[in-house]
Amino acid sequence: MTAEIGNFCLVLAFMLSIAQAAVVATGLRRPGLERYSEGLSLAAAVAIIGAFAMLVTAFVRSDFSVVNVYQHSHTDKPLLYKITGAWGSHEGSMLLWCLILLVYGAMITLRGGGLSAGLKHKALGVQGLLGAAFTGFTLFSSNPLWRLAEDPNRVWMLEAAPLQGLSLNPALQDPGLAFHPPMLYLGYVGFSVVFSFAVAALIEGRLDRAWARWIRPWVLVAWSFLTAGITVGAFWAYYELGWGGWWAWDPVENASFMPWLAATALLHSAIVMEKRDALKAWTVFLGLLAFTFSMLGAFLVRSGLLTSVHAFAVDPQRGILLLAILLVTAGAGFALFAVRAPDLKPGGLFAPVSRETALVLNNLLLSAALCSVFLGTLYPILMQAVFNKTMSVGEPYYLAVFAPIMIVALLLIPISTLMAWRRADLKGVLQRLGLTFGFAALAAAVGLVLYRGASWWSQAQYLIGLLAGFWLIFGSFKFLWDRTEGKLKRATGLPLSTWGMLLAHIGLGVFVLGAVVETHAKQGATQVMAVGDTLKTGRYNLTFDDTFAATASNYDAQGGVFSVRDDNKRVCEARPQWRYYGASGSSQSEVWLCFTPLSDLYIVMAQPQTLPDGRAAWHVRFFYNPWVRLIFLGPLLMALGGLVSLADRRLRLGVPTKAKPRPSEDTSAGKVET
Amino acid sequence: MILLTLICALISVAVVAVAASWHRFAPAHGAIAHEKSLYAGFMADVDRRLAAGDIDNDAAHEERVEAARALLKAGDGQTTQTAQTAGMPHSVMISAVTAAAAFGLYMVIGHPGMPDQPYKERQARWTRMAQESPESVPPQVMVAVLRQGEAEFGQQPDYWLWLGRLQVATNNAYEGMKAYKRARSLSPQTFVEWSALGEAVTLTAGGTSNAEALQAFGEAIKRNPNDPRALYYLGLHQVKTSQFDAARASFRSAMDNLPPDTTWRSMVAAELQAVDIAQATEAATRTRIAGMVAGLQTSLDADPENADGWARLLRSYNVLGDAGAHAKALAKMQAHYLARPQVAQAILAKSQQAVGAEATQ
Repeated sequence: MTAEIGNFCLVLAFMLSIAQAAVVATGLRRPGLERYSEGLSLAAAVAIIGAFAMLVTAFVRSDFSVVNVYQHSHTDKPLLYKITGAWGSHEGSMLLWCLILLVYGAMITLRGGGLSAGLKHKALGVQGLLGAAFTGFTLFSSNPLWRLAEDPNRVWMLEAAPLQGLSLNPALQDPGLAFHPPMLYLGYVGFSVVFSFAVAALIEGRLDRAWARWIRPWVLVAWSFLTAGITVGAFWAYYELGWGGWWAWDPVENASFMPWLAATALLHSAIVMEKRDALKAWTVFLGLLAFTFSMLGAFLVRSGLLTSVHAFAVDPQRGILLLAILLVTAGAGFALFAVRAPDLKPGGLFAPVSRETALVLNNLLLSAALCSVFLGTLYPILMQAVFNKTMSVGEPYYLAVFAPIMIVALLLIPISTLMAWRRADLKGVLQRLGLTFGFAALAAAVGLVLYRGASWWSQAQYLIGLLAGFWLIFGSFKFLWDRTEGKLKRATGLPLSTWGMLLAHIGLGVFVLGAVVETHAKQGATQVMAVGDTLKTGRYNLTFDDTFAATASNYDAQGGVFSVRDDNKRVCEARPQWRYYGASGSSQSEVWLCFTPLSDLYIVMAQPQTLPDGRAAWHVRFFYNPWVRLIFLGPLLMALGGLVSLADRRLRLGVPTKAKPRPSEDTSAGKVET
Repeated sequence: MILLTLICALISVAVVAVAASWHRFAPAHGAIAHEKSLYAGFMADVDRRLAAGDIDNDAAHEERVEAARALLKAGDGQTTQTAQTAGMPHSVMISAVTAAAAFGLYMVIGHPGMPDQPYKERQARWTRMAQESPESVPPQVMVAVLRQGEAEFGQQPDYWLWLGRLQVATNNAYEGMKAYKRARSLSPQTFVEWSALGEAVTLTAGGTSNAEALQAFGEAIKRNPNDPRALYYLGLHQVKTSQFDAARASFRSAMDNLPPDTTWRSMVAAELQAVDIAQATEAATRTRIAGMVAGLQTSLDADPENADGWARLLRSYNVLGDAGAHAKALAKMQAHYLARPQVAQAILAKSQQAVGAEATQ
């Protein structure tokens, strides 16, 4: 009955979402009705929470009469992976998407007391339409609560359910699955709220500073979660897949990066709109774009268009349905934008040299970067579709096109943060930053001396990358110094949004340093090794000392005991594993990371074999990844910066607080913005 | 079905209550007072930011003008708004109708009559079946029943032997192998199922008898030289390693020791017949390889300045196990590169290099 209750809850959520959109649509003709969208949004959230809880219950109880549980679980899996298996498949992750979408809708109701009623209800109406589209898609096309009797591919039945499940992909049997998808979806789907607000504002014709201020918390929430989600995903891929890298410009990775770029541009343009009442049309456009790219990502991952480790399904039928949702929702949003945009007044004026101009430049550069990633991701697909020509676009393209654009954007950041609104003194700003640039250049030069690049071009890239990273970090500290004049008291008085901005910019600089050093100075070696063999990478020696066996409920492993030495000094003992997952009959390597404060020694053992002399051997990969920690630390600082900004009283979700009503006001107002 | 209907009704009531209570307790919207309070708050914030130095006078003025404009607009809009439709009853009605429609749709697309099948309940049912009439229980189900007894019987070798047999019989050779090994580890002196263990190891390895399997078959033959299963798998291994006469002997011995009515006989007979074909095929392959190697040798005799060719030739003799030819070729190569010992050394190293031993540094 659990699965059936879940099914009913899903149907209920679908119908409530339709009703939510319908009352708003009816309210356009019969004012007053639209207010019921608030209660309906809460009811839909309760229903979808019920559906998701029932799916998790089915996984925990190993109810193999549910197709999704049968296909993605096994009784031998630990409880954590039974639970996370609920979103380890296309169907389950779609339900997670719907859960987050409808809960965000409820959040508009619960935390939107400070919103104008018209805007709030129209946003809820759009959110209801999105909810209906996605819950409808999940219910009728990708239902994770389908029972086996409905599965056309069922091969055999015993008591209507198989004896055992087919288990989950071993790569997903990792704690990373508990965090990466939910965080990523909190980001992706968070942009739906911004999309809804953008459409609502276009319908209402009310785009002002207040609107920009209303959407900023939502952008910050979604952007922070997306940043954290992408970072956790990159770290997961780094330690779980055993390839030694953290970003491969895989089309599905790009699919998550594109909304991030759009949202980063939006975050900055919304500041200009809030402060200066300018860039209205552009900000709304970015609001529409961010969620459109989120939906595009969902389509790419699930349509079977891409071959990737992330690709969920190869089902063109579902892909077409998702494409239809994407085209209808994004198409309607942009059509409305095309109709209404000419009516939007340009707003506040500013001089060519001003912070506004710098932020516009930042937006242009981010948009150009977004276009380059978009082109690199979709070009091979278009070539395949139109000319039947197979090709791939990889790292060299992105280094040649994307990296230079971003370097310019990074170099601009410290300058723009010191510029004044409306009219700025560029010469003065540059003079103030002279010493900072000197320090950054010195640090980069020291880094270059320590690095022996393969070519002058590689050394130039290294130098520019380090300069950009140090420039960002030192520039942020210079901004802090100027604002506080070095006094702690003034520092504590700075708004949280300023601290958030500083953290985000420093985090970006930290990431850039990590990425540049890791990419250029990484060393690695691969060899078939048996006990007693050694392998050298850089200044580190890896010796295969012994083997061991390990077992858990879901796998059996053969492991190696390796000692890592730096000259004669022992650095660490590594114990990587080669795991066999009996339930799915597949194997997976378990990486061992020897931590140093900034860098990793990364050891993988895979593909067991027997040498001609009868000794057991493994294919061993040994990498030295310098400063790789910074690659993950930087974006987490950025996400933290977003959340710190969110805590700023002016931007906090549900900004209004209870206040004593003024005698002259209607007491029913209840809440005021403070 | 009745229970499910009741639960669905309860859920419906809950969501209706959530929607209705929001409209009961949440502040009314759309009133001009609400808009006024919003913008009063906005203005207060402008004042606060001005006092804190976050914005200058011009910006504060602009924001105040904007707030006033928005307030006027809200006031204009108010005239078009009719009185609020009655609150809670409408909310209850809308959400209740929606819930009823949802139940109707669920009845069309759902399976209200299909019960849950949680694994624990099924295990309990299978255990009862196994206790009452074990012969009616399929092997896969018996495996699931037996696995529940691990805590109680996990220290008994017989428990693991039974489980191992059932696992192999249900095509789960990997788990079968683990069970046999567990039995062996519990009682290494009395373990007798060596050929079964060897078979499980062979099946786990995809049909190839590795060193571990061969050792198990060896133990089995030591205890019973006529063990048909061990003989059969040894025969298969001997065919793969080109020991055709030994393979024939193993298969024949297996045939002699198999009961006449067993289905195994036909399998063993087929393998015995296949030995001749395998032998002929291997001879043809060796002839072809020998021809290729001879061709390479001839071309090196004609043009000895071919480092890659020498490396390939030496490696080929290594693979063929022809030590004499290898020594002869090595001497020729070293004679040719006498003046360049470093090249000779590199060729020798390359010919001895294991596949995959490459550095990516």
